Amino acid sequence: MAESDDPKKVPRRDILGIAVGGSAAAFALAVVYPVARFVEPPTRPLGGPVVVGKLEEFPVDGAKMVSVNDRPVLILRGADGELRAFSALCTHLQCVVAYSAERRQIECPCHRGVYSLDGRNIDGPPPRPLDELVVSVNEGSVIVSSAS
Amino acid sequence: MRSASLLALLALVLALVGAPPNAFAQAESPEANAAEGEASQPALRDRHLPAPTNATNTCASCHATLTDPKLRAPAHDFAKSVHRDERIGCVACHKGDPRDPTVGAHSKAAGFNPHPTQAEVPGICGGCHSDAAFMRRLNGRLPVGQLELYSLSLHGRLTAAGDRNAPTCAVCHGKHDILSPSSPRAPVNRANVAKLCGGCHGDPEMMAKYGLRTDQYEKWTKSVHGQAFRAGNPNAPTCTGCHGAHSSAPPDASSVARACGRCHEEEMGFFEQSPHSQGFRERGLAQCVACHSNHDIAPATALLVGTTPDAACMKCHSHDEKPRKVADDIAALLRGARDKAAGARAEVAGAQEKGIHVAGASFALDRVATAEMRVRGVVHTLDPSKVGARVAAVETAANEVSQLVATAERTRKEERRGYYVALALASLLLATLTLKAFQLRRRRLGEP
Amino acid sequence: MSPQDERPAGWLADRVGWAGIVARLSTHRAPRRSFVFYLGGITLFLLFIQVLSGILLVLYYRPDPAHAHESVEQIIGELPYGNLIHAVHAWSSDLFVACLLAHMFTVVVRRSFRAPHELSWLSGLAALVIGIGLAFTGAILPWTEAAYTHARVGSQLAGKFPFFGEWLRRFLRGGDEVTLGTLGHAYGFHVAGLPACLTLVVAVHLFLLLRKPVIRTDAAEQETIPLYPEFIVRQAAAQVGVLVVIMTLAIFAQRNLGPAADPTQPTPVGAGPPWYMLPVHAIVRDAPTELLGIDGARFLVGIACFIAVLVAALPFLDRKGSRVTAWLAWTALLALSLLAVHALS
Repeated sequence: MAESDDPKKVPRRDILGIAVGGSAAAFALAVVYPVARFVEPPTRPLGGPVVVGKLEEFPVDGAKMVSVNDRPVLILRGADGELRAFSALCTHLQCVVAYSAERRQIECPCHRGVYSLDGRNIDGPPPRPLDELVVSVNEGSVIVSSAS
Repeated sequence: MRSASLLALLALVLALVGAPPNAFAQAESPEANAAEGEASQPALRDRHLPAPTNATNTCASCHATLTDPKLRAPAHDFAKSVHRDERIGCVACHKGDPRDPTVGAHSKAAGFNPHPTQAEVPGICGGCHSDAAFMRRLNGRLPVGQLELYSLSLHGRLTAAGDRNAPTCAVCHGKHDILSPSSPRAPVNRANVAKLCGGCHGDPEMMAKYGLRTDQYEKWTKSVHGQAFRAGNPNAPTCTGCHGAHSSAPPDASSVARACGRCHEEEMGFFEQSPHSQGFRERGLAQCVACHSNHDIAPATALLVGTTPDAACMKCHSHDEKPRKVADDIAALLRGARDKAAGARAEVAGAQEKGIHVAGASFALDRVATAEMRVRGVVHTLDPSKVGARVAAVETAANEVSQLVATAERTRKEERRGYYVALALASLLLATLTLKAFQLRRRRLGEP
Repeated sequence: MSPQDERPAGWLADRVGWAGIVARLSTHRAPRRSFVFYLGGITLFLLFIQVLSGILLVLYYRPDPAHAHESVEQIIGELPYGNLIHAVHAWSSDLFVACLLAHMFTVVVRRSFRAPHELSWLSGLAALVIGIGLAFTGAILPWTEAAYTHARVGSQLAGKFPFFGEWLRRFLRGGDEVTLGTLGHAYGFHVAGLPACLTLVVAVHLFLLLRKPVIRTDAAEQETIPLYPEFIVRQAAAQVGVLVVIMTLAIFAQRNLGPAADPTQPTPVGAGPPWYMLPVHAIVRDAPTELLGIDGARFLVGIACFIAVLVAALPFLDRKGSRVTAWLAWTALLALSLLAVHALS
């Protein structure tokens, strides 16, 4: 790299060098941004067992609808505090079922199918019980995974 | 100690296995023995309950060896039938003297009847099957009302009147080879009933005498009920599901809704809220059948409702202003619901085509499908406001889907925008590098 | 002593001995006008992009058949910019193999393999083989229908090699059939084994070239510029251009994943090998059943292997770098292109 004695050239060389460095840095940022967003751990877990909430959020002797891997799942908590999880898709024609507190049963709003609190089809058109999923509690968090 | 109890157990097992079966039969009906002793009381139930000995069924032991197939077949068939109980035997229907091993068993004095006539058959079968005390002992599971229902039915009344075409018990259930209705080979098994009924009811010559149509079986096969039945749906009805087995009662006009409503409960409820309920009753019109037909029930689509020529409403209301308006309103609402739901699905599919993943789409589409399903039954109320309420639920669910898709597309747009930013920066970098290259070149050339 | 000392970068420059490096690099010359000369650097740059995007993908990819496809779908669908990173990796893999082949082709045509560059040539060939190996194993990882077919057909093709074909087939498959063992093997090779080998080989290749740069004697290329800073600045510009091309392809050209692999289903219609395998595919597909008593496909692949050995031995066969080699190279390119087109029909 030959040095120039012309003082006029010195500032210009510096400026272009800075320009190259600056635009390289800016472009590098534009590359690093999506990489950083990608590497950041996602808020939702990607498959496998899913945490659906804290144990306190599930009322005793009641039920709550949650989304597990983008499918409706009904979590029932018995009077004894035990949890059970069922796919909330009716086995008749896949409507989303609902829990009825007064009648203490699971009902399908489409054709009046009825399931008992352990998922068995007890009235109406459903031909099979609801699919049951595996639910467990780990350090206060309720975790649901598909039955294996 | 242990080996001794083991030996005792073994002995017990052997005793149980080796004991003759008769010993059990004997143990089972002490009443029979007691009753036999009271010969002075030939109650109905004792008429054909001889003491269970090996000599009971001498009929079969002779008939099974005969060469004439017409005489041998009944014995063979009977041995495989549901009646093959020694307490029943051939004498239950044909009577005679079972204790006589010779042809003397065909004793007219003992009431021998080799060929019961058509008129006699119901009484013979009913003699046991409508005797509650008797049936309770032999098979407590079975109902005992068949004879009574049959005699009230048209089949029974025609039989009593001597119509040769009319079916008796034997025609449907068989004579000697009667199987339990739960057996898949029984003609009256649920899977085979439609073909059984269709055997006579599909015969034009036979039915011409009664002015009955003969297309019911064919129509039912093509209907939603027939298809669901063939697909193995345990809830789908065959002939007996609506008409009953022994009652053979086509529901009359005022009770059709009850027959359909046994399964389609919600629709029946909605129908009874509507003006059609009273209107049909006053005019004696067959309720559900008027729009849905009885045997060839087609899938209920939105096409049934409206003012197009083939809409069900137009069968009666083609010139009535108010009903036409209601029909149009409801048809429009149904179209709206269908379009909304289809639109939601199309939006998600379109996004996926473009490679955009829509988070939460499946759950939201499940809710749309549920809402769409719930619009169908409420149509029977003929109340546009009630139908509209359920259609509104479909719209709400579909809007949720739209929002999810919009969010996903926004994310994709951000990415595109990011690309253009990166492209601009890359161009800037390229420009500065090019300038630098020229500068270096100039310096190189400028040197001597 | 130089203005560098006063700048902040001077502190680092003094510790690294930057001045010495610069002086050394400045003595190297590069042709002033040679598009071809940029190819090597572009190939290296593409490798760098592959490594970076590959490391990012490995953070979320799950290498067992039950979850492989699902994890790739999650990367594309649910992770921010996941589809971008996946597309970059997929597109630059194709570009990498293309540049490798183009780079090798130009070296043959220009006969730059002659002494003292034989080892550079051999290390470059090794890099080519490893690079194609990376492309092959990488295509299996998404475990889509196409990937599964690719694994089966590719290892089947490998079985046609003479002498070690059967062994190679079983080696690639991790057994007799394509199973989860195959996926595991492909993953291990693609992510660890082959990159390690490639790093070593590329390091050797660059080292040798720096020690013994290729000096052209053609008149057209007498005019040279210093490697540093001029050529490097131009190379940097070219690489930014390549990056722009990849970014554009990644954003605007969809590469649909396809459905998950299902070994119980028959091979889908229209399944084909990756483009760099097309000539071999054509040979194997249309080989006569028997040639001289040996399976036709094996025979032809054997011939191809023999030719490949000749190509590898070029520096020793063509010491003077005659023009015949260049003509042969062009003819070979034509033949391979025709075979590839034929394979597609």
